[in-house]
Amino acid sequence: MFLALRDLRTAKGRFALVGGVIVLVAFLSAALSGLANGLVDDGISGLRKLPLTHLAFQPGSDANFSRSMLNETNLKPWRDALGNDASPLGVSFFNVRTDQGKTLDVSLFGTDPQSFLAHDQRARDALAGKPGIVLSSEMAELGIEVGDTLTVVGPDVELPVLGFTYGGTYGHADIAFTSLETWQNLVYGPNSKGRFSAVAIRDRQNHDLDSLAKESGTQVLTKSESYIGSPGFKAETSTMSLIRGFLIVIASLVVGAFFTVWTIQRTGQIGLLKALGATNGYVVRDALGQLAIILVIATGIGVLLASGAGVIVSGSAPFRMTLSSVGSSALLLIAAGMVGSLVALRRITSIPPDTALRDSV
Amino acid sequence: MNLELSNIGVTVADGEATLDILHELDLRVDAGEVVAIVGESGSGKSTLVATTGLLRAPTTGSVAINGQAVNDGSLSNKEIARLRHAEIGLVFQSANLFPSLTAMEQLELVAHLDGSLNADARARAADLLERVGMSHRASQRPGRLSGGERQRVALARALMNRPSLVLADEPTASLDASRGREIMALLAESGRESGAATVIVTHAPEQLAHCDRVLRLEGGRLRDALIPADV
Ligand SMILES: Nc1ncnc2c1ncn2[C@@H]1O[C@H](COP(=O)(O)OP(=O)(O)OP(=O)(O)O)[C@@H](O)[C@H]1O
Ligand SMILES: [Mg+2]
Repeated sequence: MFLALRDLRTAKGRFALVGGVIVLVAFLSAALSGLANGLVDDGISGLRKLPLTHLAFQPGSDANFSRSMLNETNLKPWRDALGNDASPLGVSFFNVRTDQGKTLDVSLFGTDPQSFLAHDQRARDALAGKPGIVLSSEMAELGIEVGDTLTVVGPDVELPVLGFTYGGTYGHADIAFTSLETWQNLVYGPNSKGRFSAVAIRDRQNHDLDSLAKESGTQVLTKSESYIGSPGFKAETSTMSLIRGFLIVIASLVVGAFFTVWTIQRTGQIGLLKALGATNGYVVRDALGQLAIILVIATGIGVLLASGAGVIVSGSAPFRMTLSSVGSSALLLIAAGMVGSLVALRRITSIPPDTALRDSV
Repeated sequence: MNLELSNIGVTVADGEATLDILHELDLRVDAGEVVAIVGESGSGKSTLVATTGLLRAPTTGSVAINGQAVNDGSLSNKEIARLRHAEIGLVFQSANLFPSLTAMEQLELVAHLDGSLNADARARAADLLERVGMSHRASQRPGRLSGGERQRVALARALMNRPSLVLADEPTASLDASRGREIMALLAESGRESGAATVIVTHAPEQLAHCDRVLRLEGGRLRDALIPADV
């Protein structure tokens, strides 16, 4: 890249222009995927933060807690194999009303006091004692305090707030915990027959989960596989992929167009290089190397700016950027730019060396 | 080194018809010889340079370097590019320097093309700039050089790969008479020194004094013209 690097150095203005466009595209794609990721995460972060590794659902329920109904018979094989690392879980959406008459959406998780999900003695005590509710830590910010009473709208059951625990949301509603018994009462009334939604599993020893699933008549999914059951998850992820897809296409078109124009402008130089004895391979390496440098730098700047913007908005909007999502969209963008540039490659290789005798550079 | 063109024809499409730019043309240049080619504008001089310098393939006929044919289809594009790099030095009408490279880098680039840019190559580049009297301007880009200075750098660049054939297409066209004479003298001298064959296209009669032979391109063929002593 002898010539490419020196061209970059001397024609900074020209490269700054296309670099700026790529910075913007990279910024947009990183910022939008951060926001989309945040939105998607708002649907499942409560589940993501729970220390479980797998969930067993009723077969055919598509990981949807409301459609999955299991009972003690389904639980037993799991309990026998994993002990307290398998625990029944009830999940339902409710409206709760505060003392001040405000109503809130909660995604209510019911589990038993010995569950591994109750991670400390206080949580176990709270679940084992009189009926009550433990809220996600974010709800403390709404002014709700321990000792307040919340009324579950529908069954109209009053539950005292016992404390705050894991943060997060599921199906865009803050998560809250009760004992399995309380949950069963709220959902089924007195005649619950021990029903619950799914078995939460913490597999620390690589058990043969598939055969346990067969034995228990359940379908086992990993934690992330079961995100799909969260309301809206599918639509949100496909919207996000669509946005990213469009940005990638735009990026490759922009880079392709720039590179083509740039190549046409460089016809004289390329002809001269060939006249001096450069092979097509040399000329192509030089041109692509130059483009790759611009792409990498501009994408890097765009992604950094987007992360900065993400930090600024993270309080007021769901924004979530992971190293892998940022890394993959940056790589995709760079790859798309290189693909876009391929249209100009034929042009480069077909410039005849005797151009140098007619045009001056 | 010797160069032999035999029975060269170059035909191009000219709308519906075809145009024979070169026709049954023969040329032989031996090592150390300096040959001038004159001819009217449009007579095909640049086309002859392009064909001789392996920048384009003739429609018919053969180009042989040291008796080895180079256009018989046995060489790939890549091999022809390599051969061009190894054997041929080109000087153009306008200096055709890369705008983003300094005078020194114009020469270094030639070595970089085949991966031979090392300390030796840099020393050779500095040496060549010295020979064309450009050492003091070695770190300037072409935008800061005068026309004559650019053409000196271009000449040094043409010699960088120790070519066995130096081709110059009206190298003095953009220069005034005295700068033109300097460049011609440098070209002829460097050719004789290195034993390279040198072919110079020119239309300035007063410059022919440096040449061993003068040929006129007319009707697509070369014929002997006045010998320099007669000018
Ligand atoms: N690729 C081409 N396609 C069509 N016509 C061509 C092509 N190359 C050259 N010609 C024509 O061939 C003729 C010779 O061109 P060439 O450039 O070799 O002339 P020249 O002797 O170098 O002229 P000048 O002294 O003006 O530089 C011209 O009429 C030109 O228009
Ligand atoms: Mg010409």
